[in-house]
Amino acid sequence: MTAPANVVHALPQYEVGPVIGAGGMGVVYAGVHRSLGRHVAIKQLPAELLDKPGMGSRFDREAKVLASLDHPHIVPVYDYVQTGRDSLLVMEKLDGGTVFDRFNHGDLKADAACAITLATLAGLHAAHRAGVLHLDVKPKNLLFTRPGVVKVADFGIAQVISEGATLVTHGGEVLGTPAYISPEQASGNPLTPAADVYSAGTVLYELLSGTLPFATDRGALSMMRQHIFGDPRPITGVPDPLAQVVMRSLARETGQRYRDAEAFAADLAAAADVAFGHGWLQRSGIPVHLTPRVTGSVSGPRPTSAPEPTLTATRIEDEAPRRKSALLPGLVAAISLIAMVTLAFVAPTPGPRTAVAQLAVVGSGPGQPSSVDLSAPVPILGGPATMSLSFAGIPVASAVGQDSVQFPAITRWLVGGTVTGTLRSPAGTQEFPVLTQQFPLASAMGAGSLLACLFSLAYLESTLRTVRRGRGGVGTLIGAAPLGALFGLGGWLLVAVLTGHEPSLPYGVACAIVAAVAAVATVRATSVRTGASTA
Amino acid sequence: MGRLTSVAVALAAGVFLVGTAPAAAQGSDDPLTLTATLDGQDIAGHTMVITPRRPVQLSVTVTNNGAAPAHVRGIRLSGTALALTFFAYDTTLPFDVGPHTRVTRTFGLDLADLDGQAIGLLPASVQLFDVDRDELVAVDTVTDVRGSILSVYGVFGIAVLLLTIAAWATCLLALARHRLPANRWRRALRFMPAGFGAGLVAVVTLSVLRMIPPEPTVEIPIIAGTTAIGLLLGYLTPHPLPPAVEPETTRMPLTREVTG
Repeated sequence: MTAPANVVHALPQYEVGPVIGAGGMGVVYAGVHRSLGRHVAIKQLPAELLDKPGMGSRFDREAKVLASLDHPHIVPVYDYVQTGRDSLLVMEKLDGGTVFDRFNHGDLKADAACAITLATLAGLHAAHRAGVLHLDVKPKNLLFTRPGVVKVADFGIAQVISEGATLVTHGGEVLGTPAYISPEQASGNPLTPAADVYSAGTVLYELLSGTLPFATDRGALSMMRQHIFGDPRPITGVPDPLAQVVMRSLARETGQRYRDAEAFAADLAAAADVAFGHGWLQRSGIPVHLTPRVTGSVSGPRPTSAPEPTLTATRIEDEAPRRKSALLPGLVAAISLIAMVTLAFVAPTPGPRTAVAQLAVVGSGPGQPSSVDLSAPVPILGGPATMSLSFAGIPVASAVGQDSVQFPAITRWLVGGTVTGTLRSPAGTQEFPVLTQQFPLASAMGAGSLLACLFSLAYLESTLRTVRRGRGGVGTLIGAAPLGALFGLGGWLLVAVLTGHEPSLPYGVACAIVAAVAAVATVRATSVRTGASTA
Repeated sequence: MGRLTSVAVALAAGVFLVGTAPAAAQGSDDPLTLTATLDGQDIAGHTMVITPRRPVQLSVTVTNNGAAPAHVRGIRLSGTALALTFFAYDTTLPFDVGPHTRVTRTFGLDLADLDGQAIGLLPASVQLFDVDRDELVAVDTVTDVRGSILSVYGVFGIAVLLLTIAAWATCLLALARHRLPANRWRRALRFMPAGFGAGLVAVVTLSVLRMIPPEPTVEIPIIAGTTAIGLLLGYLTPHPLPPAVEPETTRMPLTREVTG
């Protein structure tokens, strides 16, 4: 999408490019300074928000706040233009994605998470020293430059620190992101830098443990209440020194929490040094500009009282085998699915049978395929006889007649494609293929098998989404097996009905088994990939 | 909304069940027997092709095996599906049939309007009425009406098909995306209209598309069966996960701790 003309006209010195992002507080366009060739991001307040009270001033505030801050870990502002109804903020273009993106792709190791948090805290500390609270610290607002430097962005709801300042709107609402909001911000109480400390601690908790410190499945309002009234779950799978720092940053009472970002950063740097060993910051690959106090913690002597952590206790070594094991179930799932489809299509059809009795449908010889209209009497030779229909050994309908047999009326809705017919009389029994004349999908066999496939697929997708949200367990693996089997049986029958093959039971069983394997392997691969515990 | 839908479906099912009661009472031990031919072909046991633009000759032969004379006042040719009459042609044709006698009457019927009323395979009947408009005798058949797809029955059948596809797609997508109700019975009710629609498709749409001729005796069991299957599938769906907390900046109502 290209930029509107008013944006282009408002910034003649820039070549305005396409939209590169959009959020609640603005649309962001790419741009290039015509003279300097510098790539920039141009943020525009959306037109629908212009008329909302307070929105324009929020945007102005963000511009002024950012312009007042000059720090390597805060996104710099190059220009701010107001023309008529438009407000445009020209900032550095950050091409490295967000922490949110990297976290969701599973690209963050524990030491990188600590380094990102140190960079964030450095930026926040600079903002706090300038008298500004960010108040919306979260992975989506932490951006990477192309070389990998983390910068704090989106000061849309930032507050200038003043005595008793709160973030309550005139309508009695609070602003913030429920998953990361501090208790005092959520309850409308006076705010201090400890509010940003809490949010940064929540981000670190999530990056290290893969989940938030509170239950995420009860909605936004419940999340706010948990921040205000609840205690965070103790972080697990993290070395003790790090865990202690994280949990202190999440203390509900501000008095028990780090008072400022620098104190948090210093303790975090020391704990990470213990957990990951000397030189961890360089190994993490995240450039961080530290204050002297924090630098001292990183390079200082290793505390002797702290337990010696092992790398196996962190996520560092968990990451590598997890990726390998996700590949295996993924391959098994793909191969099983291909095998299922192949089995369904290569299933043999018995075809004409050997004539063993002089029993047949009029118009075809004994044992030969017979095309029948199930809504009309079926004329037969050699009667009186009983004619029955079945597929894969499952009886469907039966009728008795002298010169013709009339199946029950419901039969025409049940049978589709080709099934097995049997004529029985005292003279003998003759089996033969029966080709129904109606459209194959206009039957329970056709439409039912299609519905079974779609239902099992939808159910399986529901299961996968459960796993992706970290709620998977042994139950999801067990539950995937019958779903896969249902999909396999549905696919086998659907293919047989549509291709006019007599359904072959052994192939149906084989399809069900391999599809069950495919479903279980898919759930397992998803579970491993998302890091959910299925053991 | 879901509750309203459920009530509407229940009412519709009730209407169909009530509406089929008179049809079931047609087979009585009447001393009268009726044979009807359309353009010379006996309609019983055959599928009668009706081309609306072409007038037809309807011939009725009434045999009175009873001891009392029968007084016939009129004749009706009608097509019904799910107890709903989609076309009906009435003709006043008074004649008497004495005891143990047989009378044949033949007349022309202009079915031009049928083009906008019906299409496809439709159960039909020829009925004779007495002076009080009570049915004397009737004979059933299946008609293959070569009408317009834009006829009442055609549009009904296609609409049922499209709505049913939409209902199933909505239900299955909701299942996949954890958007179904948390209550298991409400999930069952959510799937019930889709199952009900599948039954209507089996009975109505397939006849509109000339795939399967309808059979009045199994229409209700088919619809009841597919509705039950829809209910069962909905009941078997998993409990949905609550919506996750959005990672977006939002305005939330202020929450304060009340003390004292």
